[in-house]
Amino acid sequence: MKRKREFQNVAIVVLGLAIIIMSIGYAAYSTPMSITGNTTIQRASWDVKFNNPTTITTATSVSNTLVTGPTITNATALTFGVTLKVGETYDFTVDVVNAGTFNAKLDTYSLTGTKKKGSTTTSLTSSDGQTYSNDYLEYSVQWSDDSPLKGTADTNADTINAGDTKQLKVHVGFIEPSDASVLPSDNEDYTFTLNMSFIQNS
Amino acid sequence: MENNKKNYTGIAILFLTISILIMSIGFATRSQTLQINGNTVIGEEPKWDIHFDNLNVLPGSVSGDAVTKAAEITNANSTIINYDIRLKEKGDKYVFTVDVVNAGNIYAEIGSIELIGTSEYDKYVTHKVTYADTGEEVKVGDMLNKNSTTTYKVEIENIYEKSQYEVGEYKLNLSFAVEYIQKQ
Repeated sequence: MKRKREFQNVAIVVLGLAIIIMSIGYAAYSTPMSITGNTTIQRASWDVKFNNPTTITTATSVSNTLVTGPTITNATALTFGVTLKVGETYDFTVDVVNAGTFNAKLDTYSLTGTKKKGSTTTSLTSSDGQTYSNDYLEYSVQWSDDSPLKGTADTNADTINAGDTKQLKVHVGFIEPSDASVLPSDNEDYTFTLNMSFIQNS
Repeated sequence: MENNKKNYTGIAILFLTISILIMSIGFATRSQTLQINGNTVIGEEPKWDIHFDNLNVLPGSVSGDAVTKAAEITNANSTIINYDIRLKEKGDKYVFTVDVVNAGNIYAEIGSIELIGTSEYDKYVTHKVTYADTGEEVKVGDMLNKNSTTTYKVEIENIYEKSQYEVGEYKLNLSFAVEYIQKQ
C-alpha cells in the first residue's frame, strides 16, 4: 500500500513539473509591439502679421547703400531706415497676412512721428493717421491698389478674411520744394510709427 | 500415516520455497542493467521572431512641413514605430502601411491590444489600425501563422470642427500597442 502511494506521489510530482515546464515554455514566447506618434492639431487661431517686405525700385529711388531695408520683428512690427537727398524716394511693399482662422478687419490706425534736428526733437502729427507731409518730406502708407486705410470708424472698414493677404505700400520722399529756402540747412532725422489694429470680423 | 504425509508436504513446500528463493537470489545476483542513453530532437529548433518591416507612407498623406518625423521603425528589434506630424486642417490625414512578420516557426496570435488616446481625442482625430487587405480591425485573437506576414494600415485623420472657443495648437499623443503571443 505504502509503495503504491509513493509511486502515485512521484507520478503526480513528475506530471506537475511537466505541466509547469510546458506552461513556462508557452508563456516565454511573446512580443510587445507599438505604433506611437505625436499629432498636432491646429485649433482656432488669431494670427494677423506682416510678411514679405519688398523694395520697389523707381527712377527716383535712393541708392541701396543708404537703406536699412524693412525688417519684420515678431511678425507684427516692421522697421526700416533710409537716408535721402533732395529728390530721392524710397518705396517698399509688405504683405499683411491673415494666417489665422478668424476673419479680421482694420479697427484703428495711427501715424506718429518725431523730427530730430541737432539736439532738438519735435513731435509730428498726421492729419489722417496714415500720411505725413511738410514742405519737403512726404510719408504715406496705403494699400497697393492706392486705396487709403479704412478702419471701423470709417465706412466699410478694410477686411482680411482668414487665409487671405492684402498688400501695403510705404512711400517716403524728400521732395524739392518750389521755394528752396525752406529746405533744411542741416540733417534731419525723421522717425515714423504707423500702428494698425486688427480685430475679429464677425 | 497422516503425519508422514504432512511432513512430506511441509518439506516439499520448504524445498520449493528455498528453490524459488535461491532462483530469485540467483537471478538477482546474475542480472546486469544495461542502459542506452540518447537525445533525439523531433522537428525544428523552436524559433520565435515577430517584427515590423516594410513601412510605406501612402499618397494623400500630409507631407513637407507637416511632417516633423516621418513614421519609421525605430528600434533594433523592429517592434516600435514612431512618428510626429501636424494635421492642421480638417481632412488632413497621415496613412501608412507596415508588415507584421512572423519569421519564426511558432504559430502566433494577438494576446492583447491597447489603444491609448483614441477616446480622449475622438473629437479631433480618427485613429484606426486595420488589415490593409481586408480593412478589418486588428483584434485580440487574430492569428499570425508561422513563416507568414500580414500588413497593417494605420490612418490618422483630422476631423476637428474649429471653434472660436478653442484657440491654438493642440498636441495629441496616440499609441497602438499590440502583443503577439504563442498560439495556445
